[in-house]
Amino acid sequence: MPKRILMTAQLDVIHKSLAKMTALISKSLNNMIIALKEQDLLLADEVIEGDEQIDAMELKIEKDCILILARHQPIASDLRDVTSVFRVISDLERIGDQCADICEYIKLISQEEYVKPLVDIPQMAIECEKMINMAIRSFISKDLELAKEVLMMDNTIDDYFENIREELIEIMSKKPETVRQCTYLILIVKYLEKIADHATNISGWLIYNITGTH
Amino acid sequence: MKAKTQDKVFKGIMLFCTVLVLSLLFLILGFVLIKGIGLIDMHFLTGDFDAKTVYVDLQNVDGLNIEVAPIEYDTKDYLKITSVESGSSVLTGISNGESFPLKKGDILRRIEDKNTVGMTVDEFNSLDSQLSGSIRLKVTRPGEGIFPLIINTLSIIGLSLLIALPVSLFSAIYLAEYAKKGKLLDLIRFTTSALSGIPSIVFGLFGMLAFVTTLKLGFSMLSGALTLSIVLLPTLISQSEEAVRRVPLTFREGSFALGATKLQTIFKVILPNALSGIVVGVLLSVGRIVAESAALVLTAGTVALIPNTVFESASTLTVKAYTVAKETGDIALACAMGIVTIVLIIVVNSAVGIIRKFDKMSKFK
Amino acid sequence: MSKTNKRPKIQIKNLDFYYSDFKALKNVNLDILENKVTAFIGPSGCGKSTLLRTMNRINDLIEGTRIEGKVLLDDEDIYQDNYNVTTLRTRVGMVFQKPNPFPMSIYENIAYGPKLNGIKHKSQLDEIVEQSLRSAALWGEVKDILQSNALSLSGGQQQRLCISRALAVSPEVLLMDEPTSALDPISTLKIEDLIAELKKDYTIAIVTHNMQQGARVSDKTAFFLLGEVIEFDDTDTIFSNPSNPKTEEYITGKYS
Repeated sequence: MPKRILMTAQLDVIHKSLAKMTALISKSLNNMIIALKEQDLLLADEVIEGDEQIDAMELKIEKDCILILARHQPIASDLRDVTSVFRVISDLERIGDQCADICEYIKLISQEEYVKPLVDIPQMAIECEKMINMAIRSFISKDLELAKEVLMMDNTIDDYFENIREELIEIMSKKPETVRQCTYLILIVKYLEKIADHATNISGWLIYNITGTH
Repeated sequence: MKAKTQDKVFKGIMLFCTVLVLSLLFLILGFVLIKGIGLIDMHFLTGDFDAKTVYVDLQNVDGLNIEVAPIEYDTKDYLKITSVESGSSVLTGISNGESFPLKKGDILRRIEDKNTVGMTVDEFNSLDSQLSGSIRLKVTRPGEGIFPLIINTLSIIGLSLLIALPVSLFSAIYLAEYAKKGKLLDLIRFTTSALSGIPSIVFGLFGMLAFVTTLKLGFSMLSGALTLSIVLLPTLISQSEEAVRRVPLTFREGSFALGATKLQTIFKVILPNALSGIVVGVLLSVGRIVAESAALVLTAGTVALIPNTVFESASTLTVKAYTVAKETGDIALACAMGIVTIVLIIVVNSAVGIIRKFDKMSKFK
Repeated sequence: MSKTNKRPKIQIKNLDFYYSDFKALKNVNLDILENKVTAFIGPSGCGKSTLLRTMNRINDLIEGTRIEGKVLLDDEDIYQDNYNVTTLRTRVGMVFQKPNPFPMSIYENIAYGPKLNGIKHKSQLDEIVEQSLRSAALWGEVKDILQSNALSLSGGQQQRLCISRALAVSPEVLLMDEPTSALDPISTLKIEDLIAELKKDYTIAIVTHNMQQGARVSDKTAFFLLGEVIEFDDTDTIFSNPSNPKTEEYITGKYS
């Protein structure tokens, strides 16, 4: 049987770029967590600047995908592979944006003392990062079980979100002077929740990629 | 309704004609077969055509150790050898200094000075028991076998092709591969096709004039073969040219693209590919030679012996069938030769058919 | 990927080509880069095959053809007087539209070229035959039937045999004239895979009616129309963002 070596090689390149893009996002997430915990302005700026790299990566992968469509006319599973990469990179790009947005908020509250020591929010962020990594790993290795695990993890994130939100509302109602900081923290948590949704989407694309149905 | 009747009438006429043609064909074949088949046996196929009467000297005879039976030959009663024991002295017979072993079928005409006309088997046996030492027999070996004719036919086929094939192959290659398209090529084509339409008696007359008389080759196998090769040239050339032309351009391109020269391409790719077409041409020529009489009567003569050299006269089957029918009126003998000729032609034609079919299969794969 | 050689192997300079009075190529200029696959696409009769066939001078077989301009192989004009065409054709091999193995054995087909070049030793020929068949990814399928008639192979195998036959004379350039137009899709993709492998060692120029094929196999693409090169660029560019509207029309199938 023919192996379509050129197309396969091209798909490989795309998958490798995807992994590289994920590594960039992972790094941003990690930096974001440290910046949040330690109120590190410089690190936050690094993340915001790093988003450009992620955007550039998205464009490169998108171009590769267009070229593979134009030149190799993939069909069936190959076609689903390429089209889901299109969706996945836009999810990843959103995650990058949201990371940068979170850092903007971190910068806004970096000069104040936190209303309470942050435990749950960094924990939630770590879970999110784990989800993204698992989602991309499942996507590249086409691991259906891992993808399903990611879907399950989204519930944990939702629980984090609700608990933290309620806690922050309570703090705000007791100490009105914390409203500004708590609002920003709620926004940060909401972004984290959105990031987890994007991770869930990525796993969804894998399931489509493999089974052909949503 | 009218159209239908018309249709039926025409169908009837066509059917009638077909049946007529077929019955005529079977009538001819049947006639030849019935007339001639009785003569065909081993002796007919392997024996000499002319009867031969010789004196045979035997040495150290102690009885001839043969069995005989009476036979009528040349309107008289003689004795025919029906079997020869191994070790019999007749196997060492010498005639005119050459070995001439007697065999079954030979007719004893005279034993020493005793004529065998009317002799009974018993009389022979009592005579035989007295024979000893050196004796001389007069023996007739009867003819009406066609062995020399078959050999001559085959020899003339071989000789004509030997002359005609290289000439026509080279001309065909030249015409197909080298000659520029134009008036000259058209003229050559026209000439060859015109030549193939000329009746062979004309070639015969030319051969007689050119080879027999002018070149002083006499009525000989060589004159016959030369004449026949001229007869064959047009067919062989056009068949071979056609075969060479039919070799697909892609083969030539394939060969040239590998760095082959034109000559290499012709000999290594084109000719092997044209081979089946050329072989068909050769077989058609063989058929033509087998069937040919007019051109050969006038050039190769009518001697029904295997010649020692190509400069001697040699009659083929067809030529002999013609002279036998015309000169001695022995229709049965002519028909028997006809049967052998027909079998030869059928063999050649089926070979042509098989090669064409095989060729088609390999080309369309 | 490994080789980023940009050296032109064949350069075509101001080439005009005539079949008697018909001008089939008009002022063609393009470079065939070493170890790259260059595809010629365009509608029927646009001159792409003609150009391919000037590069090993196989057009010389057709009466009444004439060229103006230059075709340089390694900077040497192959149309100069007294140029050795036989050597040229062993350096620039060709694979044709219809698989055209000679009706002889598989072995003899491949040994044909080397034998013309005077290689006679059986062991040497054996080695060339095996090597060529391996290069064309055919060895595994035919190694036990080398003495069978080449015509008994399938169409796709026959075409790969023709590629092996071309490789047997160790060419530097391989010209392919619509090499898969007579083949089924699977055999076609096999040949395309083979082309991807072969470009590591050979410079390849391919004419194809199937522009998707051009897109799949080539690094550079030239688009021809009525004997002219309309656009010549990286295949990526031609198929994702051609600069000439005529190219766009043709590759999007809106050419009329």
